[in-house]
Amino acid sequence: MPPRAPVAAPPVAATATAAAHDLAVRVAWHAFVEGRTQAEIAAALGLSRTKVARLVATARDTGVVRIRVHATGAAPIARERELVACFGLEQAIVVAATPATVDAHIGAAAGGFLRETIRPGMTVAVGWGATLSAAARALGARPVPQLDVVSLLGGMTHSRAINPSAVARRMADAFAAQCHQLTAPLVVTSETTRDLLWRDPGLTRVRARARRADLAVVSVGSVDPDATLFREGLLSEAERRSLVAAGAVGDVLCQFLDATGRALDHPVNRRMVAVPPGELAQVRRVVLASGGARKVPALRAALAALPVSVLITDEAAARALVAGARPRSGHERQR
Amino acid sequence: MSKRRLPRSAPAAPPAAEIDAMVRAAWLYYHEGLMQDAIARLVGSSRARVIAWLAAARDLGIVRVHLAQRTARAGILEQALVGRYGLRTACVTPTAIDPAATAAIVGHAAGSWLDGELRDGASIGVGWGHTLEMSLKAVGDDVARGGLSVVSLLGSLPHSGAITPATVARRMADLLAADCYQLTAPLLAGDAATRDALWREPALADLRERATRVDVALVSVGDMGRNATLFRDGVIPAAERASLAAAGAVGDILGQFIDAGGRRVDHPINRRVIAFDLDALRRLPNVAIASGGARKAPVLRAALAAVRPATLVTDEAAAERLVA
Repeated sequence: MPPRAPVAAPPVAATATAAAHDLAVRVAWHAFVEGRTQAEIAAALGLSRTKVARLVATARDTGVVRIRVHATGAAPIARERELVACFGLEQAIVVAATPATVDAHIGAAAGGFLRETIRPGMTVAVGWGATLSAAARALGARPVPQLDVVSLLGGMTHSRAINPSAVARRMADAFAAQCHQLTAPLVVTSETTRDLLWRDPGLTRVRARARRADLAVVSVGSVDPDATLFREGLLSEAERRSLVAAGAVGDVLCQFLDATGRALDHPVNRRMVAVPPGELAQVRRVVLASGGARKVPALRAALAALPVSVLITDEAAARALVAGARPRSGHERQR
Repeated sequence: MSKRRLPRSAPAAPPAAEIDAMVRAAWLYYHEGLMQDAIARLVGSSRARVIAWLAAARDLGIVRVHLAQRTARAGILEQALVGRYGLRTACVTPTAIDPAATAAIVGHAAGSWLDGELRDGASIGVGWGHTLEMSLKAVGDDVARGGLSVVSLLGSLPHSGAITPATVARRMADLLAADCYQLTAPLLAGDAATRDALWREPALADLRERATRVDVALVSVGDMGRNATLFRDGVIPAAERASLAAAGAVGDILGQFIDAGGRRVDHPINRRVIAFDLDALRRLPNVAIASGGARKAPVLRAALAAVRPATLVTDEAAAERLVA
């Protein structure tokens, strides 16, 4: 033990009441903050257990410690079958939603799907957006041993809830999983910086892990001004117009696609720090969760670009997707 | 720092039925004042399970504890610390009975302090570490405040268990319903050139600028022990620990290693770290350093010299050494 500090003892002899209060404060720290049992506290402070029990009660009754306890608190089958048939899916989940609730409802359905599907030992790669953010919130809490969650995109310096890294983080928290993040900005200013970042061994490892994922959960963005990338100011209005002019209908993992699902040869696509959709080819199951009438062209492009096995969407989008995929008359269109 | 209480992955989140049991046990214990064995009899379980439920309820934040009072001894040490180090305030907690719980006890006091500093519209800079992780249990408790923002003062880790700088900032923002500003870059860049290239990124430069304007900042310190977070998690290779110590390092603050006098040591690691600069940290108006345990005394003394914070949050064990 080092020498005791040369600080004075209390100047005035404390009254019995003050001394008892003082001891109650000390015991309260050990009992309520440190979480020691009364027996442990009694042994450490050289008091009887009865005395400690009385001090704990005093601390509670006199307001030395205040404690609060927080209590936490019909799918349209026909559309689902049509989607499975039209797009060669393993499964489709269609929810009823209004434009205002579409992200929350699809997200909740995606969260439910993940809860049922995720097993110990899996690696789950996740994208981002309002829908997946809602999915992460809908997961509840259930530990899954040896689970790895990998973020497919870099992060945002300023964010509310829909930061890509937050989506992965929340999912990892919900399952008590290991979390692997692309700790880099989602959008950088040049291709050179992006390439520099992709040479970082830590980020390369995350990317390699994503390619080996058992399950990938992604969403799509439209090219409307209020799509996340534009609304959050990650990309400018000028860039949005330039993308639209180049034929973009939306993005998957921040890669802008044309109507046929091909990634555009556009400077914006080269400044994104994100795992390219093409690298999900070996992932066993790709889950696409997105909806709303405005995202239909992007959804269609994503279904062409990715080996989607599960689609989670809403009725409006499901209807439009099926209508667009079905040959209008005779054999005008062939899949 | 603790081994037992530093999980490498997030604490296991239990199923709903188990949560119900925890809430029930916590209610009976804390609100009705029943003893553990009385609760066990009431719910038809064992005393051991009741104790486990109560511990889990605390760990999961089901139980929120508000304890702001200090002991007489702590009051004396606080006065001595204020006088010795030119602080505005000091908060001294009892020393944990189990050293592994030091972060929990000091973190709680740090969270209470921070909560008391927050006004509508405040921006908060945060570091990381187990103490700050534990501070979250005492943050955002009672008073609703609007327009808050949280700024992470250091880069993050590509792979992580429960505790990374990004996690601390993110969880604090969630608790306070605040905007979150993250330094989306690796905590340790491959080399100085990569670090400089990242700082030239407008988004990161903006964030650094934003950090200079925070109203309040809460940071912790790490020591040079094998189990200090940076070394134990392999963020900094074990081999560098000896060379940092040889260069005079007594520990780190925001990932930057300092000597006993509070000066940054001349070492390659200090040129690769992506974090808010210590000189800039010193210029902030309201910085608190929070860390406890006798082993942290040398790095705390160095950090007090380096940052000259307004507030120190620590335990009696460290405080006794700092005023000796």
